[in-house]
Amino acid sequence: MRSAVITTCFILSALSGALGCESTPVDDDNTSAGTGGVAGSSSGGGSMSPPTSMCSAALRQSVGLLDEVSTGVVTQLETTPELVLYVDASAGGDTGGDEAPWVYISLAGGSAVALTDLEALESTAWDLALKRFIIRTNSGDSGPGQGGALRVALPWDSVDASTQGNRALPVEQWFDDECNLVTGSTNELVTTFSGWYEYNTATHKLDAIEGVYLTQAADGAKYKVAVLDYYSNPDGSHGRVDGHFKLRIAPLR
Amino acid sequence: MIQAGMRQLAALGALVLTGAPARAQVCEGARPTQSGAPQGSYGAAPVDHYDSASGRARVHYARSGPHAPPAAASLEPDVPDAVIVAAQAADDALAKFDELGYLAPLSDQASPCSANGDSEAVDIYLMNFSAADGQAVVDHCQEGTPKRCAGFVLVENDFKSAGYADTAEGLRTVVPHELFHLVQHAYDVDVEPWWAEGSAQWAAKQVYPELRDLERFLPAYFDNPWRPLNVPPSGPITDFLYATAIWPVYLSERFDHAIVREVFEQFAQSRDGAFPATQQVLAARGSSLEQEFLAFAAANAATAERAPAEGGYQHAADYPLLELTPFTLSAGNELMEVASGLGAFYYSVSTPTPVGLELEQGDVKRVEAVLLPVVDGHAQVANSRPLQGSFRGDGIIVVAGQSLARVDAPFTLRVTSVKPNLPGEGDDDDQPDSAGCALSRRPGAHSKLGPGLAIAAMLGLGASIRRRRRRKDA
Repeated sequence: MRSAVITTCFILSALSGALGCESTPVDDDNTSAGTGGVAGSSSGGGSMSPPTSMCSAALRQSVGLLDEVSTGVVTQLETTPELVLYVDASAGGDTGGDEAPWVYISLAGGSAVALTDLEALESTAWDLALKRFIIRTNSGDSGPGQGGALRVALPWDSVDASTQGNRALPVEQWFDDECNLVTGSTNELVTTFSGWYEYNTATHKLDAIEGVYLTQAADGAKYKVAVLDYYSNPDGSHGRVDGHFKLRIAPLR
Repeated sequence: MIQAGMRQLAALGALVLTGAPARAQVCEGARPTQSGAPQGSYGAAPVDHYDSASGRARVHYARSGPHAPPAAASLEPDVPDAVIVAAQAADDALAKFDELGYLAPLSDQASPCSANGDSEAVDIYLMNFSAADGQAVVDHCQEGTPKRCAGFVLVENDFKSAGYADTAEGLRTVVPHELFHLVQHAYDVDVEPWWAEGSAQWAAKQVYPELRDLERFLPAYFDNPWRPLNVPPSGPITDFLYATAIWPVYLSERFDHAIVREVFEQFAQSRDGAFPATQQVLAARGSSLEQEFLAFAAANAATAERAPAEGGYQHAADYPLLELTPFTLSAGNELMEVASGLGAFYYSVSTPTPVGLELEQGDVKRVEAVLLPVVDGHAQVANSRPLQGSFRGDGIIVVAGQSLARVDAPFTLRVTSVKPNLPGEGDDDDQPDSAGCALSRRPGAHSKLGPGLAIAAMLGLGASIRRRRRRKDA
């Protein structure tokens, strides 16, 4: 039965241009994400990944990194009581991901960070990168920061600095020890934010799953982040076009 | 233009299926004639079918509703033209695949599924896609390995807003492509998506060479030649998968059409990946993946306005133009890059005075380079030569991967000074066209494709070198 279900998802998700069907169970072990490591390091959490420097070309090939700054719009929809960001990560469309750079944002500043993908590889000025439905943190294979993220299935208001407990935040760890990209069932990049959506078989759209990401910024500061919408209009209302995020962000206290 | 990933999708779906324990005769897909079919159902609409002239294909269609094809019926009374065109395209495709020696799609006559189209013919269902225009669906597989599966295909009903000239062109493009996925599944359903889609594009081109769908996708590869063919961008829907058709185009022009089939036959035996299977096939033909990839990379530099009068692809002028990175040929200048897998890098060079060129890499050979003289703007792929040595004139340096390994393979291109020739020692007579290479053309020394033999011979590499797809808007 499982294979049949997955096949169905495949068919439906492709019809809509959406990717992937399985969402990462809340609070489960994200097997594709390492824990506790730092960029270019195989240390921490028993990481099997070789140093990023061994996989720099594979990284460029796999993640689609360009020497170009994204023109995706990032605006603050709300600043109080918490930050709500609109992020246009739609560039490239369903099939042209290679042609569009990532959108980089700073959690502290609540703004876009003007970096090319190649500059971002060596920068700690950004915390999250977004392109289409993929969100990654500045950590591990993704960047030199101290970032990471862990999803918890708790109401937004109940998540605070104590929620993480002793758990380490997974970092981006995308390659096996031969620099082969470890992908999800639909060949998608699996990041610490994977599982933020559920594929809606009725609408063929990606519905944000209720949940909160304990998120560590590049400088180690802690935040909580929630994806509110993937079809946001620039004014924050729900729209029709995918790739347009509405994110809720607050420091963890 | 939009190119949805449905042709690709079928292959990926098949990959997912393999994650489940092997089970015989388990139905994996429902058909549009059934309620609740995941791809969409004809619902309460009256349905009909039309058998192709050969009887090998049956086209199912709705008589009304969103999945009904255009009603125009000028060819046969009461049968929509689209249905007849689809049936003819299926017959043409199946006949061509027979001619090329491929296995026929597995029959669904003995299907354990609740629907099999009510005949042993290959079933084609016309339906309205929301974001694609075709899909091959697996509905049951035989036990064991290779994993041979039967299935059916879904094809867009009207191809409106699909980037095709008309409905007929869309059907003639997509039906052969999807049917070739069923042919692939008769060998092994687990073929990698890039080879599944690339070869399906190639196969469809064999059926109707006049159609331009293969060429339409090629920019996705020619814009990103550093990306190995077997490393598509992440995500199930990427144009790159279809653009990999240039590889079977190369192989079939370099050798013959049979080599594509041989890769499928080898893959079904070894199940070790399309490239390893190709390596074995090439070895049996006295060549290797390494040398053919190098020659392939060189041929890709000689396209569009750079297409030469001799050598290169048969239709090189129709293929996209690769972007070249300028590399200044002043003594001591260096250029560093990092390769990975079977990717390729291209550099334009020009010098009025002879310089030396070197390629430096680690102890393990991971890349190889050749130099193509450029004369009057045309890349002389038939005169390709090893990089090492002196050079004068205009040219293109091609650095191509020689290993499937993905770990970084850094390399350095370096310019060195060369000792000026003394009077009487020059080699200009060999290259009066300013190519600067001490090599002269050897008429007849290359095959139909040219660069494979030319480059390999010059490098001394062997004397006998001898499930979609597509968006709806183009």
